[in-house]
Amino acid sequence: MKTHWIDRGVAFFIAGVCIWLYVLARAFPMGGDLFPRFALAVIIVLCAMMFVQTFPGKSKSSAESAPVIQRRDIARPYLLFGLCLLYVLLMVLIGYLAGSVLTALLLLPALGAKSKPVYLMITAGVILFIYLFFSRFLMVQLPVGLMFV
Amino acid sequence: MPDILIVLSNLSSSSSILAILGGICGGLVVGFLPGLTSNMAIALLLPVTFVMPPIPALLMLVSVYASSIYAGSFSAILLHTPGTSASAATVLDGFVLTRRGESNKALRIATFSSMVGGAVSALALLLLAPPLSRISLLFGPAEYFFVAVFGLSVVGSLSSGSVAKGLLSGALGLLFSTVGLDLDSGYPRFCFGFNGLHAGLAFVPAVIGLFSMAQVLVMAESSHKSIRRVDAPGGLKWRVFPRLSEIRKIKTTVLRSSFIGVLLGILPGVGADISSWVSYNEAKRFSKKPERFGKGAIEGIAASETANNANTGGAMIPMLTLGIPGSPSAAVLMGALVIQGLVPGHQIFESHGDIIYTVIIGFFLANILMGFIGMYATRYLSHITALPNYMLIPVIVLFSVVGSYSLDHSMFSVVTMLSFGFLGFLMRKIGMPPAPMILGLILGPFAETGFRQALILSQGDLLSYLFKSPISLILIVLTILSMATTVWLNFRKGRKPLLAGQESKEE
Amino acid sequence: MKKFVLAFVSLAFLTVGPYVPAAAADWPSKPVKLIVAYGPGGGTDITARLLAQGLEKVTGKPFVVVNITGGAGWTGWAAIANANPDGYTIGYLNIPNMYMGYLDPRLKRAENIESFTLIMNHVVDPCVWTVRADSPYKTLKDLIGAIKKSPGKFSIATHGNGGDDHLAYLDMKRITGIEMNVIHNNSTALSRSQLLGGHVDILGANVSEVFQNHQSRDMIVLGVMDEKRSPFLPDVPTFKEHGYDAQWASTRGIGAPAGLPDAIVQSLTEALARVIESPEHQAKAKQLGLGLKVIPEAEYKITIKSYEQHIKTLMGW
Repeated sequence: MKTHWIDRGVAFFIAGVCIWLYVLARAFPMGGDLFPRFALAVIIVLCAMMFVQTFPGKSKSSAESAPVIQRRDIARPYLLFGLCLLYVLLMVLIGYLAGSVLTALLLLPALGAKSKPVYLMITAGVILFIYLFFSRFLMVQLPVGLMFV
Repeated sequence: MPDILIVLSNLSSSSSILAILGGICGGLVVGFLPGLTSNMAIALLLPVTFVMPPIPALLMLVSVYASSIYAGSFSAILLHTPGTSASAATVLDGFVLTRRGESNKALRIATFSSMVGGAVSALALLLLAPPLSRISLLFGPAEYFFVAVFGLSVVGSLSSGSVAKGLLSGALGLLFSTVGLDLDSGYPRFCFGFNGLHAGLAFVPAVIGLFSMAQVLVMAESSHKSIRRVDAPGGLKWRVFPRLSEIRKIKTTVLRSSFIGVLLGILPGVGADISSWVSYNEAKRFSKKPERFGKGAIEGIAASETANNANTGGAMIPMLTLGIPGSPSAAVLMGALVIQGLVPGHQIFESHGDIIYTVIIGFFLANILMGFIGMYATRYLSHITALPNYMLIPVIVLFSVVGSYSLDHSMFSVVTMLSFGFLGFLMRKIGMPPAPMILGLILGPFAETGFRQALILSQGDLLSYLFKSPISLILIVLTILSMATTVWLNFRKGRKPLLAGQESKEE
Repeated sequence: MKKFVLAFVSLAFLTVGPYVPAAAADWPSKPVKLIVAYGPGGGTDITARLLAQGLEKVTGKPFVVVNITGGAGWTGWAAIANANPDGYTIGYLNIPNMYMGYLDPRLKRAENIESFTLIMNHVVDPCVWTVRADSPYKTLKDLIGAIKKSPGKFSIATHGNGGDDHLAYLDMKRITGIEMNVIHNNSTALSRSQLLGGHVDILGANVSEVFQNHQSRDMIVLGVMDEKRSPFLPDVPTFKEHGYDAQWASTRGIGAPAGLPDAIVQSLTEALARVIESPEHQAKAKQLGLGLKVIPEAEYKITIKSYEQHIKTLMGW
C-alpha cells in the first residue's frame, strides 16, 4: 500500500529532524531546555508509534486514510502555494496594491477562472476594498514596496 | 447598587444606543475578517473614546468585544476560516454543516449559543464579580500547569483517524510553542539566527494558516466546485431562532460551556480560544454519541461558541474588581476605564456604580442585540458558499494575507501564515488533524511556564508543591477522566470501524 | 486580456503614487507611523495612543500607532532602526528593556543604540516593590531584613529576563546581598494575580501599574526606586531613604532611524514638546499614573550609554 510508505517516510523524516533538534536543545540554558526536550522526546516516540502502525493487520486507521482517487487537480494546490510566495515577494517589491493585482491576475487563470466579470470583481472590487478598508479605516499601513522608497 | 432608573435612563439615551449599535456592527466586521483580533479593534477605538463621555465610550468598547468574538464563527462556519482564533473549534462541526447545505442551522446554533454565553457572563459580572475574582487568585503556577495539562488531554480525542497522528500533531504544536526567546533566560531557542523568530511563531497566523490557508489549498484541487455541496433538506428557508428540538439538544452543553467559559475567563492569560477548546472537549466527553463530533454535531458548535463568548464577561471580572485583566482585550478596556478616571478595584462598584452598572447591563444587551443583527447579516453572507471555488480562493487568500500582515505590520507573519498553511495542507494529505497542533501551540507556554515557576517556587519539593491545592487535585482528576474517556472512545471506535473517520477524509 | 492587465497594473501604480522625497521643511506632509514594540493595551501602547492623538492635533497629520510585537520588543525596535530616516517612521524606545537585545552577546543583533536618532524621553515610570495588604512586612527595611535571614525562601514576580523589574532586583541583590526566587511572567496581570493570590511574596512592578491598587489598599507599595517620592504615591518612601541606592525605572522615549535630518528632528521635537506640555496631555497622563519627564536628545543619549556597562555587569555579560 502506497500510503504506508508515505506514513513511514513522514515518521522517519520528523524523527530525524527532532533528533537533530534534541541535540541543539541540550545546549539551552538550564530550565529552558526541559520543555523542548520533553516535547521532542514525545515526538520521537510518537513517530515510532506511527511507524509501527503502518504495518497492516495491526490497525485500521492507516487504511482509512487512503485518499479516495477522484478526478482532481493534484498539482494545483502547489501552484497556488507558489503563487502565494510570489505574492509576498511582490508585495515587498512593488507594494500591496500592485502586488495584489498582479497576483490576482496570475492566480485566476491558474485556478481556471474564465469570465471577465470575475476578474473585474476580484481585482478592482475586492483588492480596492481591502486596500481602502485596511489603510483608511483600520489604519493599517500596507506595504508600499521597495521600488517606491 | 445604584438606582435602577438611573441605569435605565443612561442606557436609553441616544448616545448609548448609538454606541452599542455602532460597536456591534464594527465588531461583527472585525470578527468576521480573519486576522483582525478583538483586542486590535478595541485598541484602535481607544483614542476615539478619549474624547467621549465614559458611558458611551465603554459601551462601545464592550459591544465591540462581544460581537467580534461572536462574528468569528461566521467565517469559521461558512469558509473554514476562523475569523478570530477563538472560533477555531467551531470550524470542526460548523463547516461540515455548511457543506451539507445547512449553514443556516450552524449559524443559528452559533448565534444562540454566543448570545446565551455572553449574557450569562454579563450576569456573572453583574452579580458574582467579587467572589469569582477571589477564585481567580487561587490559581498559581501549579494550577496553571494543570489547566494546561487538562486542556492538552483533549488532544487524543480530537483526532478522528489515527491516534498516533493526532498526538503527534499536538506534540509538534508544543514544540513550535517553544520557538523564540525564552522568558526566563532570554535565550533564543530554535531561532537559527533569524531575528524574526525571537518573537516565537505567532499564534494567530498559525491558526489562519492551519485552517483557512490549508482549506484554500485543498479547495484548489477542485476549483470549479463550490463549498456547498448540496442544498439544505428544507430548502433555503432562513430561521433566526433554533428549533425547540435543537435547543433541547444543546441546552446542557450551553450551560456547561457558559460555566467553563466564565471560569476560564477570570484567569489572566487564559483566553477565549482555550475556553472554546476545553468546552468542546467536555461536550464531546459528556455526549452520548461522541463519534458525531467533527461530523456536524450542533453540540460542538454550541460548546465552542458559548464558551468563547462566556469568556468575555469572565475576563472583565478580575479586571473590574482587582485591576487584573483576564484577557488582552480586557487589558485594553482597563486602559479605557483608567483614562476615563474610573479606577478599577473593589470600590469601583460603589464609587462609580451608575457608570459600571450601566456598562454591564449594556454589555448584556449588546450580547442579545448582536445575535439579531448577526442573523440578519449572515442571511446574505451565507450565499458566498454557493460561489465557485475559483472565486472564493483568491478572496480568502487576499484576506488571510492582509489579515496576518495587519497583526503586527510584518511580512514575517504572512510567511508564518503561509508556512502553516502548507504544513496544514500536507498534514491533511496524510490524515493528520490540525486541531491538536493549535492546542499544543496555545497551551504549550502555559504548561511550560507553570511547570518551571512551580519548580522554582517549590524550593526543591516539587511534588508536594504541585499537589498541595484542592484545585490542582480537581484538575488532575478531570485530566485522568478526560484521558480515560479518550481511550475508551477509541476502544469503542475500534469495534465499530465503519462509523469512524469516514467523512473526515472526504474533502 | 493584455490591455486589461496593463490597465489594472497602471491603475494600481497610480493609486500608490510616485514617491516624492519629502522635503524636511513641510514635515509632516503625510501620516506618520508611530511604532510600539508591545501589544495593544499595554502601558506603552496606551501612552503612544495618547501621544499620537495630541500629535495629530498639533501637526494636522495622523500619527498611526503600529504595534510590532515580539522578540522581547526588538522586532519593533528593529523595524524603527531599519526604516527610512524620512521622519515618517518613529517609535517608542523602552529603556532599559532594550539593552538586553543588543548587549546580550547570544543574540548577535546587528542593531544597537547607534541605529537610532534619539529624539527625547517622554515617560519615566519608576520601579516599585509591592506586597500584599496583609503582609507582615510594613516597611522595606523589615522586608529586606527578613529576606536576608532566610535566603532563597522569598519569591518575586517580574516581567521577563533583562527587563526593568528584573534589573532592579539584580541591582538590589548586588547592593544588599539578598537572594530570592525570581518568577518571570509575560504579563503584569498574571504577576499581580500571583501576588494577590499568595503565590509569590513580592511584585516587582512600576508606579503606573500599582498606584491604584495602593490607593485602594489591595496591595501595599513598600518602596519606589527613584530619587524623589512619586507624586502618585506620596506616602511611599524611596529605596534611597532606606539607604539602598537603587534607581530603576521603565522609561519610554521617542526615537527614529539613525540619520534623520536635523530639520525634521527640530520639527518633531517642537511638536512633541507642544503636546507633552499641553494641559490635556498632562491631565490624561496623571490619570494613568505616568510620570512625564522630558529629557532632551543629548542628555537622553548620555544617560542611555552610561548605563550600558552597569547592565552588562548585572547580567553577567
